[in-house]
Amino acid sequence: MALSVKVEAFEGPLDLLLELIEKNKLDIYDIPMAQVCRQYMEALERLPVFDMELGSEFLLLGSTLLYIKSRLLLPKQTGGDEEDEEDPREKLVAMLLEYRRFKELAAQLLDRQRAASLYYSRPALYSALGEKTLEPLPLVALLQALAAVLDESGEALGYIEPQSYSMEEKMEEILHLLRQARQGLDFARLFDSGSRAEKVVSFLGILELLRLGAVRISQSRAFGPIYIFPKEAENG
Amino acid sequence: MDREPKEALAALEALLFAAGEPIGVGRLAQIMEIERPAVWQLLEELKEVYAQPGRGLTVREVAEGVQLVSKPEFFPLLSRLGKNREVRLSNAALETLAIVAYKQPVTRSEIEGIRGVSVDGVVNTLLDLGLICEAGRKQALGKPLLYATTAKFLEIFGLKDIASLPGLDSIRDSRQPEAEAVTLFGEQED
Repeated sequence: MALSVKVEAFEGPLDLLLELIEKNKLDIYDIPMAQVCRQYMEALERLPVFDMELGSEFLLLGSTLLYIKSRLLLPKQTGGDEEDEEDPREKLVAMLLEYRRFKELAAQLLDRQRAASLYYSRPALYSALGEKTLEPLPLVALLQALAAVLDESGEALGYIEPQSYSMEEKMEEILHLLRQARQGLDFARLFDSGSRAEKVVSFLGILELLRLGAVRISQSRAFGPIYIFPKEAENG
Repeated sequence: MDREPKEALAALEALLFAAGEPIGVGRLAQIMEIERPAVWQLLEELKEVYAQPGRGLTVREVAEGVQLVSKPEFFPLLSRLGKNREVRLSNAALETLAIVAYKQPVTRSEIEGIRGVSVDGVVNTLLDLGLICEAGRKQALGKPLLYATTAKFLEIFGLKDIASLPGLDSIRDSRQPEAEAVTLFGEQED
C-alpha cells in the first residue's frame, strides 16, 4: 500500500487515525470511512502483538470504525421525526478534534519548555533558614513513610494468606464428628477453635445440615448447652 | 525600612540569589519589611541594571514569583559548562501534561477519554517528576482523584501562572455546556 507508517511511533489509536487522515489529506469533517477503515486495519496488522493493553485500545477504535462504516452502509431509518438523523461519525470527529487540539497544545508546551530552558537557575540555598516550601506529595510517599516507621518499630507488614473454607467440607467434618459422638455434640465445642471466617462457615454448615434434616438440635433449658444429634442415630 | 535605595536594591539582589527558585513578591515584601509595590519598584530597577551591557544575569517572572537567572543568550556558553537541569518528556507525557494543564483539575479517566489510551504510567511519571500533583477528589461516582499542575511545572515551562498558558481561552470557550460542572478556575461566569 502507498501508506507506510511505523505503528510503534504512535501514542495511541487516535494518534494513528489522525495521522492517516492528515497523510491522505482527508477532510476530518467528512471522513471517507471505507478508505480510513481499510488503512487503519492494515496499520493494525503491523502492530506489535506483545503489547496487549495498547493492542486492545487500537482494536477498540478499529471496531468503532467498522461499526460507523456499517451504519453508513445501512439505509437511513425512515419514519418518525428523524429530522436530526445523526451522522454516526459525529462523535468520532469530536474526539479527533479534541485530541488534535491537545496534540497541538503539547507541541506548544514543548516550545515553551525549550525557550524556558535557555535560562539557567540554581536551586535554593536557604533550606537551612527554616521555612521550606511544602511540596505536594503523592499518597504513595505517605504510605512509604508509614511503612518505614512500622519497619523501625519492628512490626513488619506481612502478607496475610487468604483462607477459604468450603461449607461442604465443614458439613462433612461435622457429620464425621457426630458419627463419633452418638450421644450428641456440644454446639459450643464446634466453635472452640478456628478463625472468624471458619466459625461462620461452621455455623452455616450446621444450619444447612438442619435444613437438610441431617441433624437435630436440642437444648434442655434456656441458656443451657445446645447439643447436636445426628438424625439417622435417632431413626436407626 | 529606611534603607538607602541602593542598599535595598542590593538586598533584593542578594535575596534573589539565595532564593534561587522562584520566590513570591509577597514573600520578598515580608522579608524586606516593605510594601509589595516597593518590591515591584525595586525589581524594575534591578531589571534595568541587568539590562545594561556587561551583565550576565536577569530577573524573570515565573511560577507566580520572580527568579534570578542567567540571560538566555549565554545558554550556548553555559551548555559547555554542563547541561541545564532539563526534564525530557515523551510525546505521551507532554500530551498528558497538556491535558492536565488546560483542563485541571482533571481525573485519569477524563485524560484517557481524550487520549484514547490508558494513562496510568504517564500520570505516575508526571507525579514522580513533580510536574503534576493530586488535587482532591471529584464528587462523582467512585470519587476519583483529581490532578493539577505544580509550581515546578510553571517554572520548567517558563509560565508566570496558569492563566498565561497559551491558548487557554480557546479551550475555555469551546468547553461543552455539559462540562461546566468542572469548576476550573473558579472565575468562569458565562
